[in-house]
Parts: sequence; C-alpha cells; structure tokens
Amino acid sequence: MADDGAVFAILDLYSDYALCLDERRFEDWPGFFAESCRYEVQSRENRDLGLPGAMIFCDSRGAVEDRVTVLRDTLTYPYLHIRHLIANVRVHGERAGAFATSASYLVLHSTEEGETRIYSTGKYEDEIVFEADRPRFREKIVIADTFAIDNLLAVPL
Amino acid sequence: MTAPRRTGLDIRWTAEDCTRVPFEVFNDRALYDIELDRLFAGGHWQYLALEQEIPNEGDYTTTYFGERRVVAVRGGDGAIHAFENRCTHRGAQVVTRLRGNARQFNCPYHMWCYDHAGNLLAVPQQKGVKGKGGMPDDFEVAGRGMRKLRTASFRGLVFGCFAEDPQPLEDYLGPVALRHIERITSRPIRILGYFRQVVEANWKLYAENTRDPYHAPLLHLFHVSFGIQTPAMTGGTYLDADGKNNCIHVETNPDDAKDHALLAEQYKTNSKYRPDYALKDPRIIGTEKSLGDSTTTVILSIFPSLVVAQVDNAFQIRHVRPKGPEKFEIYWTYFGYEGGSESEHEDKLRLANMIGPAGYISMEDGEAARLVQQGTRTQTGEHSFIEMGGRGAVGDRDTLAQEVALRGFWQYYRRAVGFDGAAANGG
Repeated sequence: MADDGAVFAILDLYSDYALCLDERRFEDWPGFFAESCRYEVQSRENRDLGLPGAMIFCDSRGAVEDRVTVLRDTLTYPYLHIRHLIANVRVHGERAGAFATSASYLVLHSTEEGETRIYSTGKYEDEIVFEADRPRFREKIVIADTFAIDNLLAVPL
Repeated sequence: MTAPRRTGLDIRWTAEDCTRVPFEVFNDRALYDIELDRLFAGGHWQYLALEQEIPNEGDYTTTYFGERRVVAVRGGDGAIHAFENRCTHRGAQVVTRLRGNARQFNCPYHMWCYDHAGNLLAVPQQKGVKGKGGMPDDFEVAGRGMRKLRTASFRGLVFGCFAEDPQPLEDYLGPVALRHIERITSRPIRILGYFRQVVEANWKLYAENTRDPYHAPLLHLFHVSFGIQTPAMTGGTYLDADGKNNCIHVETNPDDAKDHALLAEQYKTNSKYRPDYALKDPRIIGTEKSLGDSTTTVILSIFPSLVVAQVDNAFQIRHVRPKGPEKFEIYWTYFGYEGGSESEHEDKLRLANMIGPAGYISMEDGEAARLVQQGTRTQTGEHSFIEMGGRGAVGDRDTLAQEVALRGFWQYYRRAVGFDGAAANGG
C-alpha cells in the first residue's frame, strides 16, 4: 500500500489541480500531467455502452497543452467563475510506481452576476506517477455523469 | 409606446423573401406549440435511429419528435416499428430506459402489455377478479395500441412520420439530401459515441446556424488558422427547390495556400485570428480523408431537425431536440467507418476534439445561439437582417460569403407552420 507521504502528495495534487482551474491559471494546467500522458472526458453514456468516443481526447502532453492554448486565444465561450470540488479521493493501489486513484468531482459555474448552477458532476479514474519527486497524472479519465453538457465544455473538468 | 406583442401565427413577417425574420419566432410559446404539432407531429419525416443500433429482434432505442417520446423497435420479421411512448390506458410512459432489448413492453403502472409494434396484447384483470370488475364485455385489445409511426430507411438511417399517408421518404429527402447521405454512407458506419449539448436558445437558431457558411471562418477561428475552412475556399450551398433541405459544402483546391496568405488583410479587424498559432500535437490536422475526395465540410440540414455532417474528417449525425421555446438539445452520433486501418480509428478518436460540446469548432455554435437568444428574447416588432449573398429568390450559391439557405429554411418553415395560409404537410 502507498506510504503516507505519497498519499498526502496525491491529495495535494487534487487540491492544487482544482485551484489551478478555479483561479483560471490555464497555462499551469498542463503541468499537472506527466510528460507522457492521457486526458479524456468521457460521457457516462458512452462508457456504459462500451463506446470509445470521448468529448475530449488528448493522448499526448502536446494535445493537453493545445486545449488551453485555444482556451486563451481563439475560443468564444462565456465568462464564468468556476469552482471544482473534489472529494472521496481514494488511492487504490500501486504498481511499478504508478498509483491507481479515483475521486468524485462537482463543478459549479457562477455568472458574472452571481448566479450559480451545477455544471457537472462525475468521477475521475486516474493514474498518478512521481516525476522529479512530484506527483503527476499519467492518465486522467473524467467520466461525466452530467454528459448533457450545459452549452459547451471549454475549461477542462 | 411599442405595438402590442403579436403571438402565434399573428407574428408579422415584413419581407416575402425572408430577408427579415421577426424575433418573436425565437421565444413565442404559442408559436412553439404550433411547431410541436405541425412540424414535429405531422407529415414531416424525422430521424429515428441508425438501423445498426437495433440489429436484433426486440432491440429498441428511444428518441424525441419535438418533445414527444418515440420508441423505435426491431420486430421479429426484421422490420423496424416505431410508436409514441404513451400507454393508451392512462397515458403513462411505457418504455422507461433509453435503449435495450425487450420481449414485450409492459406499462409500469397497470402492466398493460404491448408487442414490438406497439399493439396492445393484454390487459391484466380484463375479465375482472372472482367474477367482479374488469373491462366492459365489448372491450377489445385490438385497435388500442400505442400511436404508431410510419417508418422508412435510407442507407441505414431510419426515419419516422406521424402522418398516416406521408409522401415517400426519398421524395421528402430530395436530391440534395439523397446525394450527400449516399456519399457519407458510402462506407459502412462504425458508431464511436454519443454526445449531448444543451443550449438555452430556440431550436431554430441552430437551424439557422447549420445553414450559415458565413459564420464558420469568423466565429470558429480554429477553422481559419488551420485552413479547414476559410472565406476564400471553394464551396457554397445547395438548396432544394422549396428551400426545405440544404447543404453547405467546402472543398480544398490548389489555390488554398496562396489564398491563406491573404487572410491577414481580411482579418485585420478581428483580434482572434492568430496566424502564428500552431498546435503542439498537430495530429488532428490533415488526417487521411476517410472518403478520399477533396471535400472538407458538409453540413446537410434536413427539415426540421436533422443534420448529417462532415467537419474536416469527423463525421456525425446531429439530432435537434427542442425542450421548450428557449432550450434545445443537440444529440450527436459520432461515427467513423468499418474496415479501415487502426490509424484511421485513432485519428477518429482524436478528431472528436473538433466536434460535440467540447469541439474546437462546434462548441461555439451553441454559444452563438445562446447569445442571439439573449439579444432577442425581449424584442417586439424587431427582426434580423439577412441579406448576405443578396435578396430575392433563393437558390444554389457558389460562395461561402452568403446566408441564402437561412432564407430557404424560413420560406419553407412559414408554409409548414401555416403562416402563409394552409400549412404544408411534409410536401
């Protein structure tokens, strides 16, 4: 089983990940991923049907970086305050230095005029490795229960 | 003082050629109710499913015609049946899961039992219990089935229609739709996934969006930066004679690179164009074309609520499901093709980043519709201004700097809901 140090570092990783997105530090977001990584946002519907199509499919660190480049420069999407709440983080086990983890997430959106709505809930199924003593997502699979996306999905979950 | 608000079919159109569209049509509840009745429950053929989604006896899938719940089922004879999902007893929804396989359908409330075609088979306690109660003696299950739809398929796409005696599906689809569906289904489809996008706007704003090639290289800067679609590319719009179904198309040509170099001048008033922009992982650009031709965009819009599309090398069916006057869902069926290489399949998984609710290109269409809804929802006696590409008669255009198919849509729509007298019923 994972030692306490690794578990605390993993818990911090989730908190820092949420803060990074909530504070709109999008340029820092790719830094949460390992050099070789995968980030997908899947719908619960496709997952249950065994279909491979994902709303967001990044199978390289470059593709993860591209997601935030377009966010800053070219995409048209509404300005919203974002809050990621990540709970029930669980480290399921370790194999060859890679930790299998899962967590639940809730993302709230608030408008510029202060109205809040639940934007998305679901779970993360992740694989975390330590690079230069820091935990990084080698794989982050977002499985959205809220797969009827409210308007659009621009800022990552 | 503004004039009293007009509603339903009293909403006033000020231009016969539909260069003006009254903003009330995007938020009026009375008109919306007429649409649900005449467009979504009348003589118009609407998309039900892909045949391959219900391959075996008893397989079913559900969808919406407007807001009505509809079930499509594969029967024992191999035929596809469809019926409105409503028990003839007290009106409960009978089929409660989105898709599955069933030997028969039982209404959850009183267990009335229906076959795959929606025919009523049996009513519990029909003869009463211990000689008491039960249905009147003249009750018969025959003829008490759920409301049936006519069904027909074209190239694996299954359509349904509420009318008893609709025009043949292929006549309804017309030459433009037939040609483009044939092309996009020229290889066997492999379903990769479904996406859903809920937009707080009237469904007709999306009908406008998918008929509008003018916006594509302006709203979607991703398009331009990577040369998927620029204003200078070869393309245009094909329309049916009555404007009902139509298709935006874009093809690459040898001058694209030269034309691309002129974009900086065209986009000098646009802060979002980034000529220096480069992807760190460019594998989603320039994938090997699945259909082998020079076509880079096909947006085929079939009245009232279906879009069959190719965006770059990503292929989709989009079904538009109204959820009230100011809300709709886009239900995407994202597909590749059977029989290709593993690298083609991987390309398709990456190309999903272009389309759907998180798509670099298509996510913005929902936002554009939402912004128009916000801009127009309080308006009375005002209208949009649709003259890009000219006024007067509608017809094919060989440029992307036009909005002519919007006017085709509106001209047919006006007839179909009954603004111009008797409502057109699918024809």
